[in-house]
Amino acid sequence: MWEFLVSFIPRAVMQGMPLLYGSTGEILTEKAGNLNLGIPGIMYVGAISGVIGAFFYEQATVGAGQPMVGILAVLIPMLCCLLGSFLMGLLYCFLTVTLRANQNVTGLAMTMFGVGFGNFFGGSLIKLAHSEVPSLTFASTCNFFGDGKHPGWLAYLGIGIAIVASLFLRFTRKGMQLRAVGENPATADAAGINVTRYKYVATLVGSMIAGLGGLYYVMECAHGTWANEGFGDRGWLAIALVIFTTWRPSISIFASILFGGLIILSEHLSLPLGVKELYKLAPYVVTLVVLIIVSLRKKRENLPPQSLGLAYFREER
Amino acid sequence: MLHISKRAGLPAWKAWLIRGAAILLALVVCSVVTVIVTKLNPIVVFKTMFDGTFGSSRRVWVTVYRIVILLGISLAVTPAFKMRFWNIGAEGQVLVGAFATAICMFYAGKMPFFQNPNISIAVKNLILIPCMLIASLLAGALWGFLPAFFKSRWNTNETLFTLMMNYVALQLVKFMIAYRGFKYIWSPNGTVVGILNSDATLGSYGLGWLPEVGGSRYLLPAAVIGAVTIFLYVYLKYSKQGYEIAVVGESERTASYSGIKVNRVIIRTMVLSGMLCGLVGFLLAGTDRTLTDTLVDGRGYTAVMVSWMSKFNPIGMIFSSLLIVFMQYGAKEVASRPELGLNHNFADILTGIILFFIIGCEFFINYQLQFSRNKKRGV
Repeated sequence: MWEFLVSFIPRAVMQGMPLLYGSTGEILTEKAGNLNLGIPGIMYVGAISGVIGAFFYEQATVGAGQPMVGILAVLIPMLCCLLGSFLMGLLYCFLTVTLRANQNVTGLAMTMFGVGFGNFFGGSLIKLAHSEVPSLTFASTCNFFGDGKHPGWLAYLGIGIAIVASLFLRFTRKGMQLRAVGENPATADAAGINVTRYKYVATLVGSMIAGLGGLYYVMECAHGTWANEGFGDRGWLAIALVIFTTWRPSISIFASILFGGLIILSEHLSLPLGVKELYKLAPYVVTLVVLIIVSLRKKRENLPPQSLGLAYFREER
Repeated sequence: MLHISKRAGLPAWKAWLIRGAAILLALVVCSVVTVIVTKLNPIVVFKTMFDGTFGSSRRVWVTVYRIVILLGISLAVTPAFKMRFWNIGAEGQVLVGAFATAICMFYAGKMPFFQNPNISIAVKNLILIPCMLIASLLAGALWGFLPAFFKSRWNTNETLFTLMMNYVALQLVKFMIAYRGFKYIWSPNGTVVGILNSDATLGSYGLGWLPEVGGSRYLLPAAVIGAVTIFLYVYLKYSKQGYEIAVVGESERTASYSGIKVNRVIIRTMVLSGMLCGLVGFLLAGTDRTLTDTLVDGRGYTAVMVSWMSKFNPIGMIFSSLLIVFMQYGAKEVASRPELGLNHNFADILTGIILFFIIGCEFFINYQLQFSRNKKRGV
């Protein structure tokens, strides 16, 4: 039993971390009133941007027979990942905040674009590498991220970010103003808060955090392997997690590990083929139940931000 | 400096002109991206796309079928959207509709009555196909009813609810396809359904297949969706219920002050949306004669965008569906040619670019920019 737990918990944490990154990013975004359904796409773009960075750095060093510099091997993929997800977030903000487009439609378009972008460039890189299997491995790069059996430093960073985000939202002045923007932008505007700036900053930071989740998946969960479609529906699970935790990054730390544990368990248990699929239903059903219970109880602090999904235009009251 | 104000109203032709310009601009950007990424002549690429979608009469039919399905789903989500009920659950609603149809076809194929070779297949289908239709409509209606019920009673967020329902439907279908413990096993290896009722030696051969009209099995779905287009156009524009939908969409308070029962309208409209999605699912499974977990293939989400970018206008949706199908499946054709060296995900990138332009251009239709001379005043 003990041995099982020792091998099980680290793997559950590793499966959970991409979801934690994604949900923390989405919580920040939603607290500013932006329902970003582009998160799955953003995580894909974050992942592939990191992969592109790692690929070219590895080609330049290992390919040319030179040793890799640890700090560069980590920084290059990370910066690429942050840049890619930043640009996606910027696109979302420009369309929904500045041009006041419908958030659902924009988000869905971004997911379509992002997933296509990831798989397209993933496929191109696989072709570039003349790989025989349809995947890419970064054996040297991923060693700087972790050993693939235990959660590496990026996992601790994710937990740290979630704690900071939680404290930020709850206790700082800026965090409260951010929540005010999400609840009622008109009131926040009247109180002198720059609604546009808060929406932009929260969404951009949220996108970058979510993008890191994609990088984490590639570098640790998959241990430096990119395969098209490998990321699966983790982006949507991250959005489910936001509801499941009632918009609290601190709870998301445990909830994401729980979800990760569910993913790992389904691989461990020798269930009949079909039952596995039924088992994968669980997170979504549980999320639905939480969503319903929360709306039944109507406790203000558990409800979605009130202006979630609505664009703000000062002259339209 | 720069001042943004809402337009009082733009003549329809001007609005469509702006949209047309946005699409043209998007196509230019798509060409530039294609050139940068592939170093191919964009004209060659577009010609290949055209070949892939309209190159032969068979391809034209398949393209029409794809347009029809996308159009059908877009129409189905429209009544709810007009009510500002953000139902992104079409994916799941269509899938459960298809699932209900496939289940009917499958189990009927095991029943003695339907296996009896002495009864003609036309008679059997006359009994079975209406059952399939009803089952699909009910399944879709249930998937539409649940979020509407919780929304109207307890104001549960419908976007998140319907999103989760998509995955519930998807996992249920995956489960039913893969699970071997059922009384009957779909297929020997238990992971794919295959073409249903396709054993020519049995009396159940061709059971539940939608009839081929005019030599093509794609004509019937086209006719059905054509009828739905006209029905929905009239329903939304001229019927009392359509008017109620529009009022609830504009303002729920106005609606309830004027005596409209908002909760009832929400539930009724979502059930209608779900039923139409179920109908599309019925057409999909009945025409393809099989069930897979990728049967809907993200079209439930694409339809949300098609419906929105056509401003909920059924006629506009025909053209939007045409554009999206042309881009998506045309780009897939480009990807399938090894000499061009692309993979099929390129389609999503191009479609995404077009969508971003269309989404962005709505701003210039709804708002106007004024440049004031007096820089000191600012905004």
